[in-house]
Amino acid sequence: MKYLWTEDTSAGLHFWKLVNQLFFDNVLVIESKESNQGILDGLSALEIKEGDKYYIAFDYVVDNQNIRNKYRLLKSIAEKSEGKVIILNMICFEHLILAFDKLVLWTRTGKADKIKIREEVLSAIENHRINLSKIVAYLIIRIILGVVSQRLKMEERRC
Amino acid sequence: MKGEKLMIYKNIAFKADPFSYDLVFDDRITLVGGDSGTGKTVLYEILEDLRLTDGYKRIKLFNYKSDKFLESIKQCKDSFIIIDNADILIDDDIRKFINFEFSNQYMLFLRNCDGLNVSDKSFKVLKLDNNRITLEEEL
Repeated sequence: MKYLWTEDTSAGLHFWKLVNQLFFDNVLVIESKESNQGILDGLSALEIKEGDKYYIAFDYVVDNQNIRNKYRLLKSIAEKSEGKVIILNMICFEHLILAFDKLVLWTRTGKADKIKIREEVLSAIENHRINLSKIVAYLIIRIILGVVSQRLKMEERRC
Repeated sequence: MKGEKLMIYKNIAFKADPFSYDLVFDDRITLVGGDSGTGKTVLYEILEDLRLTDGYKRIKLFNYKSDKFLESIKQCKDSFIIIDNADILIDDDIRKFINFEFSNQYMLFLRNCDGLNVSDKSFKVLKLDNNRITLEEEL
């Protein structure tokens, strides 16, 4: 079995489940260990079976000494695991999201109309997908489909 | 260039027989960690001599013997500041100085990075290989 352990419990856990569904045909078993310490506790108590692999999404904030100490311990566990414990090359879930420039462009943090759009889209999510039939505003559907340019959106707002 | 981090010394290289040191710095603030007995204090003592040479006159060193540490370090501009036993020696006031006095470069012998504006390139340990001593990334 292949496992992915995350310290996140809400949005991060949802993100990894979505990645598993969209890119890995649900091959991974996604589990939240609720904290970095939870991941370390889980690994310390683990007896890895033949063929099992554990991918670790650790919240690694480099300038936090407590986290560095935990990361150091995690690295030593991974080094002794003969490749069965693999630390993902990432900083944290939030950084992954912020680094996704298309999402940043789309969310336009702070703009009231975009927040309204986001609220409507989020309320239409079912099983990790947007149920377009639940969205009333035609403009929002067109934005999701990527067919509305910035200029067109402004023109439509003026009408 | 605007936004570029100022580096007083990108590297410090010298021989101290039988060893040769080749210390490369990747960030304005370098934290040298590692266990006791890995050569941090020896390096500090060698650097006390090295700063007397023409090539390294911008090195300023501080340890527990330094008089009026806080006042002295705040006078430093355009310097390569080295602090031994920094875990004990520096307080929030000095952390603030280190974070915001951008004309200086810093090499700190310490383990606890809390409160310092560091990057993943800041964390180093001394590594000995064939009598050659370098700074390697800690994690």
